[in-house]
Amino acid sequence: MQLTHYIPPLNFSPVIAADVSLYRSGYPMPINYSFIRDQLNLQTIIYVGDKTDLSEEYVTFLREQGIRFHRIEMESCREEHIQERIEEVLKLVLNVNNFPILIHSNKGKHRVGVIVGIIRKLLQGWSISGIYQEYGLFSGGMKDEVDLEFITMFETDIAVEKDKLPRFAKIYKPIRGD
Amino acid sequence: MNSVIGTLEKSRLEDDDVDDVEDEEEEDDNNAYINEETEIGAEQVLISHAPAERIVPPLNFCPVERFLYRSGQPSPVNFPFLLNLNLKTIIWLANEEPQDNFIEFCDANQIGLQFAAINPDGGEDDNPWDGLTEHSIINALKTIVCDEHYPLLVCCGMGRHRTGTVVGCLRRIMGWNLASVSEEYRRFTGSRGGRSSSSCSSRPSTRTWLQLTGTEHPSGCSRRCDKYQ
Repeated sequence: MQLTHYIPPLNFSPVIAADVSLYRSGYPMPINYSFIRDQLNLQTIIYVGDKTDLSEEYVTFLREQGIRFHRIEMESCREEHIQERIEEVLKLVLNVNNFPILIHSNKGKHRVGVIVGIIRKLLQGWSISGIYQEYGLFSGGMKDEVDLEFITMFETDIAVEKDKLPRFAKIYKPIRGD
Repeated sequence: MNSVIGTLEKSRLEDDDVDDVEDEEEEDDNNAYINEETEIGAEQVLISHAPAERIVPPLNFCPVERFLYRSGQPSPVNFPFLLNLNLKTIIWLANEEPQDNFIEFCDANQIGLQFAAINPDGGEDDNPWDGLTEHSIINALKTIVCDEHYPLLVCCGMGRHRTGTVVGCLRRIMGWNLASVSEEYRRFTGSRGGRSSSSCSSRPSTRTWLQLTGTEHPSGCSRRCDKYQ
């Protein structure tokens, strides 16, 4: 058995593991940095959460690894500007140049669960039952009905560049005119 | 559904092949949206609703690594979903045969179905609920570490214990520490909050722990289980 012991962040898992890589997790701690550095090769980290200041270690780690960091302020899916916030995340996910991406919240359960659920529905066409099951896996069986309702009802209207679409996104609807 | 992907991939390939300049001209002809700020023609796509045709993932489906997936036994309702993964190989971790329609699906789509029998010498005394043998785990891992079998799905009846054991062993090979391996294992066996009735069965069997750790079963594990009962 090798001596290196990698410790992935809490609730870590791949979300998309195909032509591009998208991961999910809880808040990365210094003990997780060697795993992220050696095994994920990240280009972008998206933090959906309420913490405004990053620890010095985290800032140093991000700078050393050249990882672009986006904080999307999000308390829960009940808040006022939630639509715009989710659209911001989707725009980052719909640009192939940003991958590999890690999306994390604090515990990797509810906020990330909502984002992943919307990606599954909107971009991959997953059935609602499959989305609920996945949400439940990561929230430890605790289903927040409001989150699930939000995923089910979510619709949007954003335009992104066709050339930059990652392949997993099953959308092909060019805008004509103008 | 596949045709959409087909179009996408095809268009991307074409984009790779031709010069950017040609690309722009072509898009101009199609009256594509022009980004006025940069004056570079970039065709935009609109994201609004979910695709009309929905796909249903198998029970406990999850990606493990690039082009490596895990799940419970797929049923016909999941076949369109599996087609999207472009699988080359499926590892089936059980003694009993999977359902006929699953075997037919694999045959019809040139997916290699590998049987990793749990205990081939068990005979009539064999208990299908036993953990995997070392031999069958090594067999499965040999397939997993060989990229000619990818994209690859590892599955068993429910996608919990047997699949979890093989994935756990893979994580150990990858250098994950044991607590992280255990966290992932338990995610699929449902040992956490609100599922006290199943928490006992979510405890990895002694044999599973031996396989994952090469050490003894941690005593704290059984105590925790008692508490939930």
